Amino acid sequence: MADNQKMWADLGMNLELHDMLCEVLPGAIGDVFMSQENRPEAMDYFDMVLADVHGLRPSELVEFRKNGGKVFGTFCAYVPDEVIFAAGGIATGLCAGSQFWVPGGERYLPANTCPLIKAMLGARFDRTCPFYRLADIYIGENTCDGKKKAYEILGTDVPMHIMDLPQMKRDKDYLKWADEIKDLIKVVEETTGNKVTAEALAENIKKINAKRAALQRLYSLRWKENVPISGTDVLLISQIAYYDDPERFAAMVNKLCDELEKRVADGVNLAAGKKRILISGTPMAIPNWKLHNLVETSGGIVVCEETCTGTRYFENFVDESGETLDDMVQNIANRYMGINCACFTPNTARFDDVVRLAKDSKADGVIDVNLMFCQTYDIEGRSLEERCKAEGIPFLGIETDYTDNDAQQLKTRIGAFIEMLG
Amino acid sequence: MAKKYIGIDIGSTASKVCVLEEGSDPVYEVLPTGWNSKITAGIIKDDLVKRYGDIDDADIIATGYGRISVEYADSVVTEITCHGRGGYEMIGRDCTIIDIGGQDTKYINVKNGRPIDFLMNDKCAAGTGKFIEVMANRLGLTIEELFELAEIGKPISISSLCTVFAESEVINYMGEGRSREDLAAGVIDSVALKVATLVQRKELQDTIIITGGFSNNEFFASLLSKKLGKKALAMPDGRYAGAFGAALLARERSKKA
Amino acid sequence: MAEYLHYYILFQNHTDATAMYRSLKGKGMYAQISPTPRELSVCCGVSLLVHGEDVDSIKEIAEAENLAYLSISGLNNTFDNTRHKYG
Repeated sequence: MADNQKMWADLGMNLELHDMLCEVLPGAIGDVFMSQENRPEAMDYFDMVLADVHGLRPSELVEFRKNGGKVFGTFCAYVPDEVIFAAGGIATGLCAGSQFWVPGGERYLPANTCPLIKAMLGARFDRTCPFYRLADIYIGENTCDGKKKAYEILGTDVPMHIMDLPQMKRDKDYLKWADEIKDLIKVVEETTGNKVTAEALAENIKKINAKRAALQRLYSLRWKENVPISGTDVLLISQIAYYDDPERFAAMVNKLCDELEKRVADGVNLAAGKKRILISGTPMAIPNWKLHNLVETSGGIVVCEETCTGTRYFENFVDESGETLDDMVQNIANRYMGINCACFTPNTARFDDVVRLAKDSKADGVIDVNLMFCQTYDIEGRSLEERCKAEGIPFLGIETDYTDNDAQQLKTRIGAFIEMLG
Repeated sequence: MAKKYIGIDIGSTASKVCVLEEGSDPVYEVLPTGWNSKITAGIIKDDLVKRYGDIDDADIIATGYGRISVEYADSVVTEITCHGRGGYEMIGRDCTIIDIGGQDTKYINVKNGRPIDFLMNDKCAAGTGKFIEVMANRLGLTIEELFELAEIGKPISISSLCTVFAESEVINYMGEGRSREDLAAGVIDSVALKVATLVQRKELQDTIIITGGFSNNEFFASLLSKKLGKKALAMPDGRYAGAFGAALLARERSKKA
Repeated sequence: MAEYLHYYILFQNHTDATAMYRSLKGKGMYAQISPTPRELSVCCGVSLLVHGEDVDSIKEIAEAENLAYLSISGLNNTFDNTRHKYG
């Protein structure tokens, strides 16, 4: 596929360095995905996206930009894709899930910064990710101090707009977030040269809701008594959700769900003899499959993720009844303010979410996984543990990063936790 | 010949073997793990064959960080489950187990005979056997001598949490001409403090037992008890708790099947 | 052809890969979309993992249906879910 090389060169990427990433990924994909048995056929679409992760979607974005389209890079489940698509733009997640990018980020950030943030800066400044090159502007958000300050550094290299997310959930905070979305609309309109009309916004609210509905359907299927799909495969789908075309993505997830319904009816059960695990905590950006791989090779199966690459991304719909632009913006704000991130105080609603999801997914235990140096989730972990124990839900807390060197220790802990559930 | 149940615990520093036979007391063996746990597993097998003849009929469970290297084991179980099972059997009642291993320290809470909670120290040698080994080397002592000297010394506070930094701290004290007894006492004191700090967020039951390499050391047990504010019991065979637990689990599984 | 653990069909582009995939799947044959292993190509891209015993019939199918591909290569790589190296 020589076409990719030319595209990457045209995008100003560092080909030599990027080549090192290309060298390790196929092996990791083989180990993590291809080694799995009895996968659904309809994973083929997601396998295709993954196999050419830096080629397929980027080439679509290149075409889109050739025709004057604008691409918006985002990092967070709070950034409302609806308004970006309503202006004819494309929103794409900027993944930051590989150790490969971390050393590059450490040239700009203290070593004791979360690996996701370090990878974010490494991917941009080392020019080793096409998505980072393809975004015309990045939309950041102040969901933690690390990101907030890192965006200042990122902003020296690429246009950035920061959304000021409230950190409490009082009535005035909902109004404030709506205000922030209005500011984003202005930025989006200036960047694309297109107006966000009430009609376009209504249409795109429906479009993104449909994507959420597809993901909700997928999760409800893995919550069945017999689980038709591995957690590792679902995690990949959740990761792809951030940067695929929303309509095509929803169609592909629904196609997969049709097959999963059949598998459920046919009694296919990947959970046989395994312990059902809910993973809560920090996001797992592509290609971070470490925890799922460890759990699913230690006698467990992941049946739910209460993370930003999980339920936080798709739970709750935007109310579609809004008629004026103002109403719609407030409805969008209300939906996103319903996400329970550790950057808020208090955040006990997240504990309610975990308990509810553990019941819905029939989880035998909860593993709370926090990226190293993610202070808010780390501090919250203790309260979550207390709550889970009070509810009689076995709980294991884990702190880790993107490196491989703690894999065996984690395997012992996860293995012991699963033995404990047995 | 009676059926044998064998537990093999390949730790980072020492490998322990426990052979259970109906009607006899458990038989324990220990050997250094060396650099290759596959070779160690082979030595253990040869030794078992020498002592018992054929071991093909025995049920074997491997545990410890080198558990996957025991290719002839029937199954593998993590050291947390095995230490929990073995420790519970040794003391005969529900207990909190503090296992100080060569490369990690574990807290295991056993209720109704089953581990219900555990904690392992993170990616760090603080509060582990490795820390004591490094410091003993630095002071030119064997581990046994270090413990002996520690008993008569007055502990110098070693404040670094990191083994590497703590070693530099000890070197500084050595440069100041502090006595080996006081430094040895400082090292052991610091391990006890780190272990107590590790478990302070966790529930401690009335019965606390120590397993792992230093489990038979009464001095260490009394020091740890002081730091915990609760009595921690030294266990004469505590280092075999993992292997013993593995052998017990092998027997239980065989009876179930 | 020598015996390898895995056989990969390599393509010029993903459109050709998709066409081949659909054709093989339509015949009930095994095919798995895979990233192209480094040993077989110098850049990321899509390839198809197929069964060794199907290689001859795949060549015939490709000829009959005019399906484009670059080559079919064997490789002794393993998929080890306990290697825990994530890149």
